[in-house]
Amino acid sequence: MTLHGLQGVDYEERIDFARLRADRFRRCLDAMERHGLDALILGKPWNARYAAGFRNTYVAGKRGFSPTAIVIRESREIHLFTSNSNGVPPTVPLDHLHLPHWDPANTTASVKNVLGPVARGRIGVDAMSPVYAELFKREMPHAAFVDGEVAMREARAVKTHEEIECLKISLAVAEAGMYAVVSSLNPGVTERELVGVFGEAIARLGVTIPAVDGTFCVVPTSGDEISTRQWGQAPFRELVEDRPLAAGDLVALTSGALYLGYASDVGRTWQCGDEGVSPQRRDLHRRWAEVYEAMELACRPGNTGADVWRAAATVNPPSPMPLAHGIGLGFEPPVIGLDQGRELDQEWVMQPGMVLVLQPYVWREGVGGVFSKETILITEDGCRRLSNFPYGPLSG
Amino acid sequence: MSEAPVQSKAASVRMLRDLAASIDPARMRRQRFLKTVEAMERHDVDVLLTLTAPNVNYVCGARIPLSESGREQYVPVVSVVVRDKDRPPHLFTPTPQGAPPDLPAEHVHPPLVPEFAQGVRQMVDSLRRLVGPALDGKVAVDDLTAAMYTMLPELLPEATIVNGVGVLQDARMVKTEDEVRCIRMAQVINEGAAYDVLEALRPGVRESDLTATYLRSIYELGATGNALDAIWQVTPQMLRDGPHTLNGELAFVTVPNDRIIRDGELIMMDTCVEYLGYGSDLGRTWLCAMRPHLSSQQRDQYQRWREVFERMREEVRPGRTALDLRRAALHIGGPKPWLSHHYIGHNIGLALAEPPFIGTDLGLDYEESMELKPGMVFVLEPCIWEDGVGVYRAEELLVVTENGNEQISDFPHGPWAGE
Repeated sequence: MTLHGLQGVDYEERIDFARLRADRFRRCLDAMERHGLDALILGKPWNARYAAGFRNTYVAGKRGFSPTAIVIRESREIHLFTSNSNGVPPTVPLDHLHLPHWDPANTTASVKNVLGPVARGRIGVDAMSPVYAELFKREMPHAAFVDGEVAMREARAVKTHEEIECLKISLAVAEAGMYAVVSSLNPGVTERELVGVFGEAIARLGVTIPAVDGTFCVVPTSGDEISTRQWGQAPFRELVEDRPLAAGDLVALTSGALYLGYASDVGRTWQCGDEGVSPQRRDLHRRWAEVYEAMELACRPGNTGADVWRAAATVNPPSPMPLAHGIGLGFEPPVIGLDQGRELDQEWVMQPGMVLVLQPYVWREGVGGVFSKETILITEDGCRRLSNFPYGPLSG
Repeated sequence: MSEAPVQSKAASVRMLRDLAASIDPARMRRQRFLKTVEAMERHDVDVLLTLTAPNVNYVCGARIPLSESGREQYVPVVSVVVRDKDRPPHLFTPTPQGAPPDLPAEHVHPPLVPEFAQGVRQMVDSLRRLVGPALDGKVAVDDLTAAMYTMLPELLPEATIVNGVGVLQDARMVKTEDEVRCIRMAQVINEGAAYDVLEALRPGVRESDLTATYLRSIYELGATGNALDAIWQVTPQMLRDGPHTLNGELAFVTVPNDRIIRDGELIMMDTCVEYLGYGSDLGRTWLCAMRPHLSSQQRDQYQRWREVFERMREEVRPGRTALDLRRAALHIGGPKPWLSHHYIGHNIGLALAEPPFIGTDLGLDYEESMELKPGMVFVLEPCIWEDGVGVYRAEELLVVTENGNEQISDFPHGPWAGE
């Protein structure tokens, strides 16, 4: 698999970012057309990145809704709310930048002004807040505000050629971080320190944002070991503590990087120290691989999320984590294998160009658990693995 | 004026042990829950539904790993509270490990998926089962997915949906003792890491290299998360060299990148770590140079910064308002000592910037209505900038006490302060 370097160069074509932006914008406009949207008001940072190429200051976690980008279908205009041109791609003219306000009433006036006559049309919003819901209704009484998130989800689901190249780089960066982690996996290092080891390694490559404050946690070997309730599911620790690792600990390692917004999600289960791995643990890894392969086989065009779920349905106790999720600009739908999402699993149909993280968890009382992940791309006749990291001591 | 560098990374480490031991998370959770219900009473709200991690943490103490926003959107942590101090909140979470130990097992549920139409219907069914007829009353929500926004009026025809952000801002504004200690922890961790970064700062390193050092250091010191893509903004000497700005002022914040830092450049740094959800805020201006030299105009900028800050600090006491702080900042005359698209002050807590805000378009009436009370934690951040001369921006944290304030931040101002 070819992989591009991170620098810009003149002697070969690497990622064509103009094409990346153009393809994404076209997919966004197509989705607007299918959904009959005259405009989109986007507040989610990844939606603004997708439609407009806008890189905002990254703050972890979900923020309350505030308009960030506006897309007008007929005129193909993109407008952004930002005080300067930093992070704004050359495709957005300077007179389409608008000062952000702290007072939602002032922002609403600005939105109305940008929309002009379109403020009487069908306008998709990707999220909302009670304050903006009231202000929009009052200031733009002739607009029909509808769910625009559905259109954005649809646009983003199938990845363009350049997006897949970005995802591959993001994976390679996260894998580099993971190599630094497994080389530091010595008795005495704390779970929390490993978060820093991963972050340092990816930032040394120029990528400053981990997609998640990773999990570098000792896997519980007994259901009583952790005090939290798991609804009959396998026990798992996800939040790191100041816990020093001991030789022989089984450790779930997962984290990811954000390369130009494109997320990676790498996961491996490793044993701490140089001791030999017990046959029971090797068995557990074999069982994980068996389940994973069954899931991978289910990933082909026309199949649904329910097929992926069924491939892992024999795992007992079931995993508290989703069995699979989409990935692109951040964590994306589908989220397969949640109790509340059975209906959604069924509805989600695979198409070539979709990218999924498959992450079964196999746990046995007294032995521990294996939580590893692979990233796959749905192709014309099946799927192809994008991730590439060894399984380490457990695989023998 | 000169400030001796009394601090160091080693001193930070020593402080952290005692500070961590002084925090009582169970007491903090109990007090925050009671304050939430009291705020619901003041706002006459029957049910409070929260879908954002800081508010869920406030209401019931649940924690999830910090991540990019997508993960939290599609598998959110959600809590629901009814207006009754004897009924514990319900929690829907993808991270059962982060559920507080004092929440009864039957109050912890698998995650909801309200980004999807089916998920909203399931959410309403679950809430109905758990809170009953209260769901037909006044329901405050802090966030709406697009699906909730379009579907809730139909699914809850009897309910009045109101702004839950305001209810929680009200509850969260005055911090408990434990909350202030968490902010202090975060700040000490952040400052400890900043000593490491200062040591790594020299011409020839990249902004991203500074982030590498920073990330390694904050987790060694015990951070529970990194809240912001750390900013090491190389400041343009002239406005015309920098990004285009809409108001003719200095561009700030610009996004971090892999640019190599060169001799003599000014770095506006801004970083935020998290401790149990609480943020720190460390902002300074650094000079990256083999032989650091400041012009007399740059030294004057620091003196002006110092004077604005001290004037403001004198006003940080119970009974004063946010407007008094704005006026104190303007007392010095001349250009406004902050960037007008930004602010000169804000509070900090579970969010990196919380109300009251000082110096924004929210206006003078808003600022006058924001009265200072003991337990509020302010970040004051004057920014003195002149095209062609340079900039001095720094942030200090102050907690309002019974008869004044106490400074939480304690990081040197480097060559500006004659160090």
